[in-house]
This record gives sequence, structure tokens and C-alpha cells, in this order.
Amino acid sequence: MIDNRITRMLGVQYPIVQAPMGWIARAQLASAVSNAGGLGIIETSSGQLEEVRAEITKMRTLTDKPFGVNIAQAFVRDPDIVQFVVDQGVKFVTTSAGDPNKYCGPLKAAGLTVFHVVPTLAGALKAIDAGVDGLVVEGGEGGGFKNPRDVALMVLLPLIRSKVDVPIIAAGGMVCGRTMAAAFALGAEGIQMGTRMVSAEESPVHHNWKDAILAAKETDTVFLNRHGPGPALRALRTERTTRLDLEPTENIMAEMRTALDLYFGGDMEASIALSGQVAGRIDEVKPVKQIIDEVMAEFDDVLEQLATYRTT
Amino acid sequence: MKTRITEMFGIEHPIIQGGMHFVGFAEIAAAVSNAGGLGIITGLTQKSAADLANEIAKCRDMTDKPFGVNLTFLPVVNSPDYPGMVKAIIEGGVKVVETAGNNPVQVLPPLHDAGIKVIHKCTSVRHSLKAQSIGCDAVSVDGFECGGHPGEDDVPNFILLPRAAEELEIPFVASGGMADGRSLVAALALGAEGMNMGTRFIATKEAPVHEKVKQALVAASELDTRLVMRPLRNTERVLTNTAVERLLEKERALGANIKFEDIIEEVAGVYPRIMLEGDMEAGAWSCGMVAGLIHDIPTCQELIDRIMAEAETIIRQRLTGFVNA
Repeated sequence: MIDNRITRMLGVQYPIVQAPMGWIARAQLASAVSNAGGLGIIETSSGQLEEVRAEITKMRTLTDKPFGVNIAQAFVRDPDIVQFVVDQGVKFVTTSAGDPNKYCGPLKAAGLTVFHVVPTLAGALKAIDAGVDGLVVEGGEGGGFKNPRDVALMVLLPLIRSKVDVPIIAAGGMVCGRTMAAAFALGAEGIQMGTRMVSAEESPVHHNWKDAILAAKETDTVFLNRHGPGPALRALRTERTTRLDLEPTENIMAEMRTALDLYFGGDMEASIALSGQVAGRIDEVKPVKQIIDEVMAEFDDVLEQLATYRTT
Repeated sequence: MKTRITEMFGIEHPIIQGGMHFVGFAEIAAAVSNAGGLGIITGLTQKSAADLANEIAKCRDMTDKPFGVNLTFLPVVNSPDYPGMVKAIIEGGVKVVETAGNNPVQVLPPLHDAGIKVIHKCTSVRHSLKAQSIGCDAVSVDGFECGGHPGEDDVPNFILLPRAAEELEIPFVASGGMADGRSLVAALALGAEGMNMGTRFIATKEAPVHEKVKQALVAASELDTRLVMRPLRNTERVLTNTAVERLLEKERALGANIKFEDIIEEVAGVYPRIMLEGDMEAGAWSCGMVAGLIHDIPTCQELIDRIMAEAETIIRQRLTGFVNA
């Protein structure tokens, strides 16, 4: 186990968090992560709050370990979302895709620990002003909805680290002990994995998507909709996303209306398969516990190898 | 610190100052080498092979440590005098050549015959493997963060370095996003055996460029670089200024029909005006995302000393606490 601010705040064995992918980050996957010593997170970005409520109830039967909830502010406009999360008895929340001032106060007043997801230094400083307990610092490498002006984690992480005191979870490119050790060298105290968890055995997505991640090289994602309108996003390269890259659409979110046909129906051309560039480093579907155990074992190996470097 | 890179190049610290147009003169190369890193003179900034020979001699007068020369191979009609430059490098007693751009295979036999080590800059795993197969001694793996030409694949170092580590047998250094001791340890963790810094070395006391260039780097944020010339498939990461924004506006307006002639005003003959005269709006000049991490203008010795001290602290104190915890 690791003893640092993240494991203490989250009450977990390892400072490894599973990203809150819409529709995917539900009880089956999140409970596997929590049971393996990390922190599973339940999504709300699908907007299906009744289903989410049922998933959280299910979590209680699948794990007695801590787990969290994400509020993706751009997608959840329900004014009662804070009360909803508080009512579920969850202790840890990440907020993302919106103004950190909106929910931080009420969530903290209810006794929750709040981390905000940030893609820039300015975003980080705003979240600190809002009173968050920590940050998820997300580099441009990552999959999903993105800041249109992408900053690589190699620069973003040490930059934010040098300007804030709260603990940081690194996101984007995280997949193994090497990346975890590098993130820690740059000042992170935890890591978040998305694409690696989408392609885990317990992930509920269709095996066609998992197979596409295994087949992908590091050059097989596209960064879409950089100039808007609507959010930018990083996704696997398919015929559909290649076309969207060459001929940007005016309504990128319309592409997501058929997401479930891709996610669970396996039609890779039906919508957009959100994925990070780290897809190029994933070659095997594995159980979550194996993923986390291997990350931690390699993390130890890398630190021991680093210790053999003598600077004097 | 001892790695395959420090052993190969005969240097104290695994830190290389990459070739930079109108920056890589003898002054900076000697300062970096004297501080225990590997300084590099930019070959093509010199007008002729004779000028390069003079610059090498000048650098030799300023340091007795190893230093290198960068040779960039560009797809141009009127090719620079590469054979003459190779001759100047060999006769000048240079021990390391950093190649960049097109395949350097034609210069490998003379350089290797003279006992010179060659490190080739690559922006992809594919090119790195090619460099290894033609006999390069090491690779400088250039992530998407880097200033100058990051290629067209857009893969940053958190992905690219571990991929290179999985595939390569020859040693490699991390290039792009490198600024301090944290970057160095991160690069080592990801499988590199040293780091290359470009932009960070421009903001040093010894960099022979106009003070306004250094101040621009200190002032820049992590969001202030732009990618230009992507439609020409000759992408370059540069610091934004009015000329760069004008260039991007032309790219948007002209779309796929854009030609080099359309943007010549923003990209041709820019470097002397920026680097020597400090005319900061003159055009597009290479700058890495790492500008956001640059907050001061130290000497090369101060910079390298502090990087190694910080790396030591991170390895021995911050990270060792987690082993077998």
C-alpha cells in the first residue's frame, strides 16, 4: 500500500482512481476498482440519474470499500445534483467541465471531499479559490471531452504543482508503473486511468471497442472539434472520426446521440469512441485487479531503478 | 549521474542542449559543456563550412569538455555544403553530432570512421527504429511538446517515451517539455537515459540572443505556443505573436490551397531579426510548450546544478519513501 495525502483522503490502499466515463463508470467496473484497492467512480454525465442511483445502491452490495461520484457539470443540469450525491452517502466527488465555484461550497458543507478536474494553470487557480481539496490535472493526451487548447502533462503537471499546495491526481497517459512514477516525479500523488479501465475485463463496453483499443497504435486517436462550437474531444480513429476531423461538424454532441450503439452495440462507426493516446500502449484485456497490481509492482521496480542513479 | 548516454558522450550529467537556429553558437555550447552537459553548435546557422570550422575552433577555445554539432537535413533544392561541414566537424575534433530532419545515413560512415557518435532526433517510434537500424548510436525522442518541428503524429512524451523504451535497444534522451529536475526524473522513469533541452537553454545568461527573447520566454504561459504550417505538413511549434496569429489567419482563410509563398513574410528570414535584433513581432520562431515552466534566466551552470540537485532530492527523498511501503 501507499501512504500519502491521496490514499489518506480517499481511504484507499493505492492512489489509483478510475475515470468517470459516461455510461461505463458504473457499479460493475467501479466496484472492481474499489475492491482492487483503488477508487472506483460512478459517472453522472449520462444524465440518467435514476439509473445512477440504482448503480450506487448496487455498489453497496458489491464492495465495502470507498468509492466516489463525478459531477460532469456541462452534462448534469439538474439543480438537485448536490443533494442527490449527498443523499447517496458518498464521501468523495470529482467535479469537471464547469465552474468549480458552482458545487464546491455546498458539497464541502455537506462534508464531502471535492477534487476538480483542470486542463490549465488558470483553471487550477480558479479551483483553488473555490476551495477544492485537490485537483485532477488532465493532460491533452487523455481521451474524452477536452480543453481545445491541449497542454501535455509533462508541462502541465509540474507547472500546476509549483503553484498550488493541494494534492494532485494525474490524468492522461496513465497506464503503468512507469507513467505513475513519472507523474509522481512531476508532483502528482495519485493517478487516474480512463482508457485502461474501458479496456478492462470488468468494463461493460462491447468487445469491439476493447479490441479497437488493443489494435490502436499511439497515433490512432484524433483530436476533434478544436475550434468548436461545443467541446473538443479525443477519440479513436475510425472512418467516422477521420471524416469529422477533415470536415468538422457544427454539432459535435449530435454525434454522441448514438453513443450506446457503439458502446454496447459494438458498431464502431455508429458514434465516437472516446479514448486517450495511451490506447497505443494497451495490448491486452485484463481484470482490474491485475491492472492495478501490475501498476504497483512496476511502480516499485521503477523507483528502485531510479535509486540506482547517483547524481554525485 | 551515470547512464549509457553520459558514458557514450563522455559527459558528467545526462543533459544535452539541442541544436537551435541562431541560438546554438559557441557561447551557449561551451557554457553547457563547461557545466557538465553536452553543448551543441547549430551547423546550418553558419553560412559555410569555413564559418562552421571557425565556430568549432571558437568553442574549443572556450571549453576543454566534449561538445557537439547539429546537422539538420532539409528537403531543399540548393543543399547546404554537408560534405564540407562533415569535414569541418571531423577536423575540428568534435566528438558528437546531433542529426535532425531527413535520414542521416549518408554522413554516418565518415563520422563513425572518425570515432564520432551520432544521436538522431526523431518524433516517432517508427523513425527511432529506423535510426537504430541504420546505425545511429542514440536517439533524441522528440515529444509533441517540443519547440520546432514535432512531426505530424502529435504524440506527447508521456506516451512516446515509454513506447520508445519498449522498442529501442540503443539509448535515448527525452526531448520536449524538459525544464528541471522533475522533468529529468520523469524522463528516466519513462525509460530515457537523459534529457535534451532547447527552449529552457535559450533563457540562460550565456545564450547569445537578444534579451527580449529571454523575457518573452519568462512571460509566456503553457498556452502560448501555436502550431503553424500544419497544412503544408511541415508543422512547427512557435511562440505566439502578431505575425503568428496573422499566419494562422491565412491558414484558416486559404485552407488546403495554401502555399509556402503565402506565408513567406511570416517565416522567411525571421531568426536573425528575432534572435539578434529582438524584433519580437518579426515572425514565427520555434518555442516549446515548456515556456510555461520558465520563470528565470540563470547561468547554464546554475541551471544544470539545480536540475541535478532537484533530481537527487526527488529520487532519494520524495520517491524512495514509497518503495516497499
